Amino acid sequence: MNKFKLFSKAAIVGILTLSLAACGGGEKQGASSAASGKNEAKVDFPTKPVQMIVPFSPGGTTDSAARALAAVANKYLPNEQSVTIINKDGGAGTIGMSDVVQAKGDGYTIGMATSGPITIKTHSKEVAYKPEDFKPVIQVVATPNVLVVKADSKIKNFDDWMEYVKSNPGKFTYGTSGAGLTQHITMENVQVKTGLKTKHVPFKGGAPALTALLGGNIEGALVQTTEGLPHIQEGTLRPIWISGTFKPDELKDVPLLTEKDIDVEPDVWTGIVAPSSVPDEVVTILHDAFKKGLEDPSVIEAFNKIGADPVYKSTEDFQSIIDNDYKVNGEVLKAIGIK
Amino acid sequence: MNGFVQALTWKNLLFCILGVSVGMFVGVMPGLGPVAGTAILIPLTYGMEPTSAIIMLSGIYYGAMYGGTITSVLINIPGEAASVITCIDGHQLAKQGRAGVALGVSAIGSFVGGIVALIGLTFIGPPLADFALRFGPPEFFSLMLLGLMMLVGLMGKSLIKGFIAAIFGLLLSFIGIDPISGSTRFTFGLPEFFGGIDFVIVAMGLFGISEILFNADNQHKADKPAKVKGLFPRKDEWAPAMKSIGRGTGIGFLIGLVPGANAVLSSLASYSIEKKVSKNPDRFGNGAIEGVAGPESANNATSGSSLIPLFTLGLPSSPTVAVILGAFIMHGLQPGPKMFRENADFAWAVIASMFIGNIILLVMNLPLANIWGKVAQVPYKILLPLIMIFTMVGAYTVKNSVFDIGIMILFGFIGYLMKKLEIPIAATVLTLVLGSQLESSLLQSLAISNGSASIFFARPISAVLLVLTALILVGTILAGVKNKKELLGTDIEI
Repeated sequence: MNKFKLFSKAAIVGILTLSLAACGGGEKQGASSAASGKNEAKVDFPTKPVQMIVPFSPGGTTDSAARALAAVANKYLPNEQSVTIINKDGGAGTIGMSDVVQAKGDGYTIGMATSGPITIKTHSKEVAYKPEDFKPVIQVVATPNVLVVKADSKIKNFDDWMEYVKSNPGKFTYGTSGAGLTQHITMENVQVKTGLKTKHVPFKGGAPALTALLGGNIEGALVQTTEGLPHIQEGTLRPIWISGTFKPDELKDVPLLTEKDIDVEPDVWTGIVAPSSVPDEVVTILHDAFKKGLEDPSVIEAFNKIGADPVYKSTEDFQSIIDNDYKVNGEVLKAIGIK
Repeated sequence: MNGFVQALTWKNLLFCILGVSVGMFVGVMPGLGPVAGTAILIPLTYGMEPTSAIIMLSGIYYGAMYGGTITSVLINIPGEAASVITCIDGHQLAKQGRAGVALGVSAIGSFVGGIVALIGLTFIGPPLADFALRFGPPEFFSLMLLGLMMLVGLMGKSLIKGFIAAIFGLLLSFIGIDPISGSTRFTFGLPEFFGGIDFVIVAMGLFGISEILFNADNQHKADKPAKVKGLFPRKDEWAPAMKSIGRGTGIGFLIGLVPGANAVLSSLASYSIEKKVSKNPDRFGNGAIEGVAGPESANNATSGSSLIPLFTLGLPSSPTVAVILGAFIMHGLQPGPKMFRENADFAWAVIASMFIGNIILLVMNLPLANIWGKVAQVPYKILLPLIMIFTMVGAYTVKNSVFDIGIMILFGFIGYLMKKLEIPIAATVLTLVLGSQLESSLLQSLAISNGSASIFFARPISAVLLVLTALILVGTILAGVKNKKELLGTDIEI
């Protein structure tokens, strides 16, 4: 009897180690055997497929944008090499991003980054990387945020809103897609800059926040323009103001916060980053290829479908956006006491 | 009717069959739930025609609800959250050699639930959706509280042990990001915990791995499960089973309309109602057919009716539906009233395909139930190592993370101890699923009311739900004073 028991337990342990080893082995493949030709005068890159880590699950906006770019990458990368997508979900995007940081600095592992995991989460002690661990390659998408209220609300425009919030401090409830995300930080920043007081109600994602707003449970919602637009066009929600660097075509008559002299303008951006140890020549090759990809008609069409605006920023501009967002977010987080 | 014509073209029919088959498959595979299944396949639909793509993806969604039942019954591992309840009586039936019956009845129940929900979607969708919107955070909190009260029905031999299990699950649900401040808590500094512990990982560990360990312990005991005895219930079981299906469908349909409510809540509610109305509740936990029929109908009705807010308002009510919404958008379609105006053909074709898909699933599942039933007869020596491999691969695929495999094995040991100590595992898993929603709806409500708890009593729907909760609580305690046994629930072995 005893022998039997022992055997079965041993078998389980055996299977366990085997599959662990198999899983672990698969991951590192591809990163090795790269460094050849690194120190030559002219860089021959890439000579094998590049993997792009998407720190979110398949099917979301970030993933769709990454896949659209990857689909045409072989047209523009030297040696007709392709880009493969790896989804590494979890930790609000920080798991995938720390994989990028830890990857070999040969340019064969890059990441599709968004503002949150790079410029907000990095203020937490528990995230093991900092923005300077990345070398930005190119910004590809930027989305402003819009404050919406229900169509039957008394608040008709920016001035109404200002007046309402001023005369009822701490009463205006607004929903966002979650605590500590760009939208939350944006409103907190508005409060720091203007002295207004509102009440934050966090949800899990933009859609539940809009559901609560449509049901009349909260008074407003601050969401990405792409999330709010369908309901605005349907006539069930009314836009009040936009925070970001630009206005989408459909919302041309809604004021930007910066037009109302409130200095708050971070977009929710998406861009490609590489580990900081990747040589500049390789970054340039990647940048040039993805810049051409961003102008490809099929990419423009795919972005259009998911409602993302292709907003190109060069390596240098992207770097200063990251630096600035990181600094501003740090100040706001400190002011409201979140670590 | 035009929708049927379009849905019945060879191509769309093919994608429908493909979708429901893949759905069955992801439902059966531990770790691969409908969320992952649809998400992984979305990129494949890039080049497809929108109608075919959505037909296939929604096929995966409701197909998975059928598939999730199979593993619950056969090997006591819930394929997705809603099937946790099915494990309780379904697996007992399998142990008695009646796996075929359990699967047959749940296929019928799932069919009825799914079809009724679709009829609701077709005819009375829009007004219902408007009503459901009134369910804000306070109402949702009260509904969750009522749901947790129903857990008492699953508590097993000892109420104390039941509470230990439930509170353990609640504590697990606190791991991750604090919903109000956004800072992390209870993560031991590990970024892997930032997003919380995935329910699937915990369930596979607590149910699956522990079952393997437990059976390895009992190797010397009976190795072969009993023979499969037919597919249909005994004559005297038909009437109660059909009634359970009816009740389950009703409950599931209503709960599916509530934004954010998931199928777990409806199968839980259905199970506890079945136990309440049953003449001899002692049978529950020992293979009561009603305990399978009711919850299975309920979770399928929920998955159907939770599409109502998506189609009529463009609002997803659960994570899987959110993935499907993503697919709509990727194909340039925005669900909502506009879709019925501008793309009516498309909308009706998708709805028609769901009717067809449900029929395909029923036709597929009845004969399959017999074959699956035979799987239950594979000797444990062969079956258990196979399950071990499947669960490990499954745990890895959830987030492509080796860390999760470790977490699953850890929970396997915890589950083994819980089984030895007779602490009900289902109570832990269900509170883990419901806990974070309970917490955020409480905090959202308090944010809205500026910290005053009166919001729960001032709003009529919420007040009614709270009164119901109180009545059940008082009733249970009174019954307990009269008859100690009822307070302690009945013998449930999970």
